[in-house]
Amino acid sequence: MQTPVPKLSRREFFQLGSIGVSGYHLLPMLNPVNVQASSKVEPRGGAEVVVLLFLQGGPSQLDTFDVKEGAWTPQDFDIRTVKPGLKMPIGLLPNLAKCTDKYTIVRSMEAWESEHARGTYYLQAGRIFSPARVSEIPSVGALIAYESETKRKTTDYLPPFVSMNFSPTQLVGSGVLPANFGPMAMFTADSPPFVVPEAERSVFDRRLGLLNTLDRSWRSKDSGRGRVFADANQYYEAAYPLLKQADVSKLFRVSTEDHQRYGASNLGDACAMARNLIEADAGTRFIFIAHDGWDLHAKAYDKSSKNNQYTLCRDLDGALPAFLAELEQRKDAEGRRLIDKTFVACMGEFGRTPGELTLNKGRDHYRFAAVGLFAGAGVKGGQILGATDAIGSKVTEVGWSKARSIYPEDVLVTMYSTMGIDWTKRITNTPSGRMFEYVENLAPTGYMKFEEIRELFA
Amino acid sequence: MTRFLSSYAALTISFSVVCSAESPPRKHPPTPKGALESATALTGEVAGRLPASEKREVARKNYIDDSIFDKIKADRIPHAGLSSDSEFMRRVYFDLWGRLPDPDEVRKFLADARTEKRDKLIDNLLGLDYKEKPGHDDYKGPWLVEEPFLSKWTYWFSDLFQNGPQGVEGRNAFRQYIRFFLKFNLPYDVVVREMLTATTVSAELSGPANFVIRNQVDGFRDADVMHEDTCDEVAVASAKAFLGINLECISCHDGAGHLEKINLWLTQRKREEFWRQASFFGNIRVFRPSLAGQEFVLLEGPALRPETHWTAGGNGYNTSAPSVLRIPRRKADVTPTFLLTGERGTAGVNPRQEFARMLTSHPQFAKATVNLIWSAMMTVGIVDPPFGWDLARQDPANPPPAPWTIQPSHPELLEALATDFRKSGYDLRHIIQVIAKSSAYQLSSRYDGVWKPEYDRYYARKLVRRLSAEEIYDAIAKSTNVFTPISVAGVGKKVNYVMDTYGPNDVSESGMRQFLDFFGQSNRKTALPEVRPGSLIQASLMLNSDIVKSRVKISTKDSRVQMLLAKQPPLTNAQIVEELFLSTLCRMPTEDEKKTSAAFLEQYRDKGLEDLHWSLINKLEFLFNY
Repeated sequence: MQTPVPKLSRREFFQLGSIGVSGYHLLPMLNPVNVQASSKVEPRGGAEVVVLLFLQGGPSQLDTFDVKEGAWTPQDFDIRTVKPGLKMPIGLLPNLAKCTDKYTIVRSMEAWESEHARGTYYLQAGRIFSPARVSEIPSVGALIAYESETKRKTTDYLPPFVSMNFSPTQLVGSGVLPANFGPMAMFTADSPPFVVPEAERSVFDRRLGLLNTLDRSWRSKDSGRGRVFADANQYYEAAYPLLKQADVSKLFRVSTEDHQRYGASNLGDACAMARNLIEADAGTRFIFIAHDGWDLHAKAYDKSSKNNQYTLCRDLDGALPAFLAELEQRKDAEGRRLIDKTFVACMGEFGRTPGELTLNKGRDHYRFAAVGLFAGAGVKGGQILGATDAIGSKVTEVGWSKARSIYPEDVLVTMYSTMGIDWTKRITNTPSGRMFEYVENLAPTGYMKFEEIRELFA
Repeated sequence: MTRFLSSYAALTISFSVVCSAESPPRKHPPTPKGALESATALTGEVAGRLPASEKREVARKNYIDDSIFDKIKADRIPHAGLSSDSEFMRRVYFDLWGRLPDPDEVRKFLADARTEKRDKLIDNLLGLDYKEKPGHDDYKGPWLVEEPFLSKWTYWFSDLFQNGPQGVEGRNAFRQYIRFFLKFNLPYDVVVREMLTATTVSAELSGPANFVIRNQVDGFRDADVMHEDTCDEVAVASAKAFLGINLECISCHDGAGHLEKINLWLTQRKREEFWRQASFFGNIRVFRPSLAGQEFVLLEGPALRPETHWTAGGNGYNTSAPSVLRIPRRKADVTPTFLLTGERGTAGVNPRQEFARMLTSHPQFAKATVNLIWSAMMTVGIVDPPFGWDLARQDPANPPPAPWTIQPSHPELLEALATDFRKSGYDLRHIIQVIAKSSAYQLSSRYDGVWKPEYDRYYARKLVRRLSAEEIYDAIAKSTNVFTPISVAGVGKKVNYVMDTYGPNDVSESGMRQFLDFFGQSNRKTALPEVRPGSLIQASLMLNSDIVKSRVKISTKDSRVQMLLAKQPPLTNAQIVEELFLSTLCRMPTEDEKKTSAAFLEQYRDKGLEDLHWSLINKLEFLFNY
């Protein structure tokens, strides 16, 4: 591109940014970045991992955590007041209704987009999709991975950013940041390709030996074919620690008991694996879990359709309470509860049309009201922030110190804050020459200062 | 739940990723005498450790070479020698057919002593050697083209047009349309005009109508049809595919104040101008008569029965209509006007026809098209990325203000290719042939001297391309001879190669799905095809997934290794090694490789054979067109 980018050498970068030496550090450093803070803020800190549970497709706010009763409501939603100010659909979310002390519900959320691809992008990148900048915008997960690099221990062997059950074609990657901070994407239903079965380990080692003999010259920097092959080899080098690590197979395997305990679904399996990764404390900082199917345009309440409000809620209700409970019970080496160092956010890309169902007996995309659920890392459980009108169509109480609804960027600021990251930082040497701000104070509607959702915390 | 299509076409902008980068400076062994003598490079540079077969003198084959090597010579840039025969063969097979050649074909080609054998192979792969085929006279013509060529390029154009999200019937019709225009080698301008102007009562009855239909935008609310959003999407898609220009930015806001560091021409463009281009499509109506179904209708003009839900559109472009994809529009003059020339449509003539005429007769259409094909074969476009044209930076006689520079690396070559394309009657196969036959295309990727990154834009060596997801999968299948039949949706046939499928949705088996996704197969919905950057998952899939592991087993039916062991009379270890190298890497093993491999087979016998095949597939060269 046109603007010359002052480049740090690889060595300088590591002196500034890193102390670790695991396979990840061998990846090509194509874009050393120049980061500056713009103003003084005090990040809250305390979290070491962020889990973003993404309800893909856009969950209906009024059929989940901001339940509204009307002529449309099926009897078996069994909506009851579980405590003052909180009604829950017991028929859909029985377990979540039992553990409301573990999380805070936010009912005053709004989204900027009302189309999936754009909304999904917005959530991952924290900003509007820009065709001119898409290749240089890193995702939230990549930034958190990058910012957490200094905490990486020499013994860490897990990727800093893990994505589960989300299509790699829609996943926002590392952008301007080095590729090693990008997501390692996997699907819980597939056997993870980086786990070598116990019975095959000796064969694998023998094959690797042969490969290394046969391919040495191609993989060397002196191949005579430019840097391409040596660069590609870095990804192999990054894969070997995982492929050779016997413990990895345990982390990415869900036992029958866990599978049942987490509600016997892909979402449950992903949560069980996330628990393993957090407990292993081996370098993972951001876990993105997608739960697809919430785009219920038609037959939303029809139990005979493949995805419906009942099946989706069953998955969520099976997985999330178990996940939160186990994070509470389990402790790290220093005796700290895992929940205290894990910030958990659960939300979709937007809400759904309020009130009566549509002609198709479903709900369409809607961005003016949505719900989010937050827990861990100091989040005070049992709260409900914000409120909407009788049919869930607009925010009537914002529920926090600002005079406006809560947007995805505010969630983003909160994530950075819990991770101890200064969210006013920006990267100045992007390829396009345009500044990349960690959080852009420019909403699609104009200037807007985004804030930490302080009210979440005790 | 596919009631609502994600019609938003462009979450990524780059079509290909450059896989070439600098070689670090290093010390070189003294150049052997003999090599020096053969190293009469155009620049007089001294060769490094080039094998004797790779002489650095290259013959100029056509106007492409004049341009490329004149510039190399003028700027005293070193360049690589010509590729070896096996490198060339593998390269041209992937670029033209998307797959590896059979081992016997490789042997035959290597043994062929004719000097014109490369030209012959190119003609053969393109189906242009019909005169030589016994039993076929001239009259039968060039549509006797081989199926793999059609598959690869049909797939390529299907990706370009993002054919798929409009539903299976429409997708299949469009796919067949593309295959036929390639098969009969129809003039590309005619094809594009047809795609921009077709109407149909059903997507499955008209292939070309699917170009527009595919971009239809639903309102994501009951009964909403976002007519103006559809016009916008078609305007973006057509400018991108046919003019190489990315109008996405100015579809939301003026260029000024946004694109100063990105695109000089676009900084001078206004959102209103974009609307005026989109409004060429103002009179169309694209809708699904049945809300629950995936049947599309594309008609012209306003609806006659206003009570129905699918009446939106047909009345021109209305800037006060709501948008689900873009920030609100404002009032403006939206008389259909061509963005590149300011020409307005003739009154009384269908605006879409006017747009199609203006677009295909504009020089940018030919230039963008040849550049796109060039970038597919040469890894980097003369204008790169090929969808990022900056029209204010094209004319060397009229350079842009500093710090901007002229965008194309070889403006005169672009001009020459475009002229050739026009004069040939917009003949796509001709352009592919001209590029493939040039020495510039046939240079080696190997250069043992000091290489600087700026040499890349001279095309002074073959710029290495990571194979596409589909090419890698198919190469594994072909090399091992183990195919997993894939059902083509709505057609009821099974195919062995991913490249023969009609789109990514045909692959549902989870292991295969995972493999293709992670190597960057386009979903033709939100993403253009791209060479996804390397990842440890890709490496793990090669090293440890069943896509490779199960296929190198002797116990797997008809696997290459099983067949090699079953040969009568039995093959020697050396023969087996040679066969595996030819079928997997399209080349003979080096002496070292022969020794290592044969010794390994000696030691581990049958298990060693599986290991060897696994290792060859995991050699890095397997993943690249180099």
